[in-house]
Amino acid sequence: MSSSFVLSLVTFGWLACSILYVSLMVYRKPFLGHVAKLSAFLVLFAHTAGLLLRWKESYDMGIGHAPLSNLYESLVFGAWALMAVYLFFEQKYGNPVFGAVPSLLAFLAMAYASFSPGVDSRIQPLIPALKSNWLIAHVITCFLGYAAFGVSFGISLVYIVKKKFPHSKLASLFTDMRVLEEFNYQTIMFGFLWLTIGIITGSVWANSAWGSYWSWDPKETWSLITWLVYAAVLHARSVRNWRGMRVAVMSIAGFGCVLFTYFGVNFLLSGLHAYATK
Amino acid sequence: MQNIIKSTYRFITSLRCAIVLLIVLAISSIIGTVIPQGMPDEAVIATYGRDSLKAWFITHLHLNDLYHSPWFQFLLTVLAVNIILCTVEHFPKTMKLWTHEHRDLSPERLKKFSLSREFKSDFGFKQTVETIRKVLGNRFGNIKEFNKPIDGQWGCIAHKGRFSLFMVYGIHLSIILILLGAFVGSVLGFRGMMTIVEGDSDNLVRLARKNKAIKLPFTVRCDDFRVEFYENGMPKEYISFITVLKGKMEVQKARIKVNEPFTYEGVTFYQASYGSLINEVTLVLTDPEAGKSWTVTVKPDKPAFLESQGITVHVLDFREDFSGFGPAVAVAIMEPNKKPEGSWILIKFPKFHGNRIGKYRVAVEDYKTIYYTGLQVKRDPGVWIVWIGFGAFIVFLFATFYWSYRNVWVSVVHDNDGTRVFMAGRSSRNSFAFEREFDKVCAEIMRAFSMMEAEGR
Repeated sequence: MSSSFVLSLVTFGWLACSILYVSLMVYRKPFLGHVAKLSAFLVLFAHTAGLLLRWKESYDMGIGHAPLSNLYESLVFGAWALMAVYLFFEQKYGNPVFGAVPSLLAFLAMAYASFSPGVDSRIQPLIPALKSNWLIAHVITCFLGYAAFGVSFGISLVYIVKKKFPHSKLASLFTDMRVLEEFNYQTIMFGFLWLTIGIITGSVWANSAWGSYWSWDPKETWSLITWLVYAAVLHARSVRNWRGMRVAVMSIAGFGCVLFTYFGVNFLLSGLHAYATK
Repeated sequence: MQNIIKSTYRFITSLRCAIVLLIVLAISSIIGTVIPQGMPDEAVIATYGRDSLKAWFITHLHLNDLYHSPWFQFLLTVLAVNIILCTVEHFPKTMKLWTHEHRDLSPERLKKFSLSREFKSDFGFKQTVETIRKVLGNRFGNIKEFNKPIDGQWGCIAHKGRFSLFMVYGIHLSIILILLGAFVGSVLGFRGMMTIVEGDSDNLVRLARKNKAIKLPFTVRCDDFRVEFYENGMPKEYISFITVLKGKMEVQKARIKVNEPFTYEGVTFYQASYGSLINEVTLVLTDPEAGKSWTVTVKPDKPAFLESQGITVHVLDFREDFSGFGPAVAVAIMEPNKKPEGSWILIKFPKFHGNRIGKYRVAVEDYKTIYYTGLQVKRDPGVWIVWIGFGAFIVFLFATFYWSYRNVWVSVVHDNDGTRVFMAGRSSRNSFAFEREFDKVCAEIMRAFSMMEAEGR
């Protein structure tokens, strides 16, 4: 079984999970929550296996490297990180109803990676600039950050729905606002921590690859902008006591920056990070 | 006047100022990613027109080199000042939290906390106090007891993680360190390029963004440059083999690859670019009318004189890929008392009709190229400060997010109703996790009670 076959199965796995999470929201039967959670863990397992298999296949080809080197691989890893972080927090807070947004995002990322003609899914050797041990540390930490912000984006959407339509059936499904708010804050802190480490590892790497730890490359600049937005959220919350709605809105704006840092910079702006476009 | 100074100071020390600065920095950074950076002023004027408003804005606000423009650097400096002043202003409040002890242990007061519990103990006053002392002592280390907080009763304060209050200052200090390191690097260091042809040596570094070069205290010779490819044609490795010379003495040999720079006496060399130059080219000139051909060998610094025709043949330039038609050489032919004529000659297309200079058809029979390597050269004595700042940042960020100052207050009251325990708790952060911890402490006390009950029976 090849990794691309496993990963295309995983794509449909995430579709199935998002259907389960959505039907949990619609029918509000607790057993659906258990089914959704169980299948999410199963698909995550298969996803992990697919990633490891791809890693092994690259070694079989004689060009072994971690599957984190181009747009296809980063999308696949991004989807993995999103669901891994989500499931980590779901375990911690024990409420499966937030799962619809992250699993849908994971499905979309995987579907785009697998089926878009613009995305090359072949295993390619590493170009000289990527041949570094920093590759793994940098990409994993950045994506953990992005993933946590993706989860926070989902929670923020739920929070806004619940706040705007407090008597809707959907709203009655979620735990109280305080749990949502705290959950959101925790994911933002988690994301901020990893994004910071991601930027720092990238910076240390850039110092040995490009000869400068900061060169205002569009990707660097946009990750700094994203970082500034979330830094503002954290300060507003702890110093100015912003809670709930405002934090949710800013988290959505912040996730917009994350998406632009990831996709927008790749497709609209040119720079040193150009290997992530194909 | 005093008022203006006061209100300015108040603004600079405020979080509002920090937020405004962050937003302004973010917006200017966005502008910098949209407008091409590093374009010289002349190129901007040529692109947008001398009188265009856009060109005026870009050249006057330095938007073509935004991140190094005085106003952007000024904003960064103000941010650093703001962080320092905010810290100074905020510090007394933290000190207050650090020294302040909530000593009012009356049940009425403890019940007002958002996190509070109240439960009955079936044991005597002494035993209850003993149990709580043990459980809290285990969990919090030191506890501070008050034998008579109010008449005939016992109370205590337990706390943990008081140092966490200062961790946020560590984060701000790290940012200042990083900015300081960048400043030291920009003042005491330099960054530039060296291009060295294989076999040549050089000690001049052309500085980036400045029309200036500096002389290294040693010479670098490029012995060899290699490009390796994968089977599918993708580049695998760019390698420069260099030798450091002091005077005529070879001091050190090194290999520089992308991601594997080489440092000598604090100066670091990075593999940045490469290219090839024409070394020697053999040309065949044909005069179709006369039906005659001549073969000449030309070097860039050694033109060939074709005596029979009275012309001199020069090779001026070389391109690896000329507009998608493969390699090409620029050749010029000079004839006394005539205007020199020249053209790009496509090497892979000898029959191309443009391969013609004056009356001659020109074809390339053979050519030899030579590589040159482009090395980025940097000296940055501030980089270690930046690294320390980075490390400290991560540590303090962790500590700020996942370490908190947690307090528990207990009051044990013994009266006609029996023994009652009142507990309250508060955490500086992560109130949820603390709520669970607090519940655990309560549960542990209850469990200790029930164990005593079992033993008692």
